[in-house]
Amino acid sequence: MVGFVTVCGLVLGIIVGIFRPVHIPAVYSKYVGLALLAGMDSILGGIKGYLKDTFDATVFFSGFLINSLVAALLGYLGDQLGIDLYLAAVVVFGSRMYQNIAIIRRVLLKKEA
Amino acid sequence: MKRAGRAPWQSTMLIFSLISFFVGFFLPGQARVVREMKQTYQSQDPKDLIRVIRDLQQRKQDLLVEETDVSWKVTQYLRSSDDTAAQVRQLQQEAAMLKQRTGAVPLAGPGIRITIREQSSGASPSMLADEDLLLLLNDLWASGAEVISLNGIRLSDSSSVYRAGLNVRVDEEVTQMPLVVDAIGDTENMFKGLQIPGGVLDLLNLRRIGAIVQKVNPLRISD
Repeated sequence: MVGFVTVCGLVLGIIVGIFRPVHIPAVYSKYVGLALLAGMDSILGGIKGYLKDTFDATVFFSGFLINSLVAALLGYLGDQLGIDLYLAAVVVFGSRMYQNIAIIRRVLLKKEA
Repeated sequence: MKRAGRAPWQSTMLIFSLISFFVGFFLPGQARVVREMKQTYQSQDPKDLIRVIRDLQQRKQDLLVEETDVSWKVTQYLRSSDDTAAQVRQLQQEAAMLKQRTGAVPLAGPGIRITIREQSSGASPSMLADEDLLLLLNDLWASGAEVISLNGIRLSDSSSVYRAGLNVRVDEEVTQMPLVVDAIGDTENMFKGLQIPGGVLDLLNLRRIGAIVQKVNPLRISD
């Protein structure tokens, strides 16, 4: 059920975003991309927690906010220091997304079985 | 395993849907910005951009040099073609003039015809001298004759005319009296030139050589 709600929310958001696009300045697009990556990671983590009965709304919401902000700030800080720190966020959130998807898949397969 | 701090079912769905909506809402805008950036140089590395700019500047410089070179060549070609055309026209005119002078082409046009007859009867017959003939021909040339023929024999710039006994020799040909001198050219000028008092006609008249001058149009002289 949570997966269905998530997909519906995502699709609805994309549709609204297409027809009512938000203007993102080009200079901030990299940071917004990192924040979205962190957001998607949080959503997948939330689904994983829900399926494993470890879901906490506060942790989920705070994790979404903090991870997104930190990812964006990490990218900004890296740019200021001349270091590609955003790669760290990309690698961390990317690998976590893979892990969460794998866990979700396993949990769903176990439930089916 | 117990759920830690489990929220009500509705709250969980609401928070999932809201966050998903939030993420989905930003995705198209972000994708659009990234797509636009790929079409511009904003996402390029400054070092690459500097290299691109330098390459473009060098290319521009090369093209300017090439354009200048090509323009110079075009100008040269145009000038050359103009010169060539003018030279061809001039050469054609000269060739036509030379053909007229050398008698390579037949000509027709307004001119005058002078018929010269010696008086062979009487106590003292008159005789056309070489000097009379040369004076007549030179007067004609000087007063605008372009082509002259003597009894149908066309004269050129290098023709020689002289008396040979009772005959008249024109180059390698021999003709006899009476002489018919045809001259194509400025008819009025030639006619007036011959009528000048003390001129060749007066001289011929003094020598009792008959000279009849006629204006003929058109007068034809073959090659």
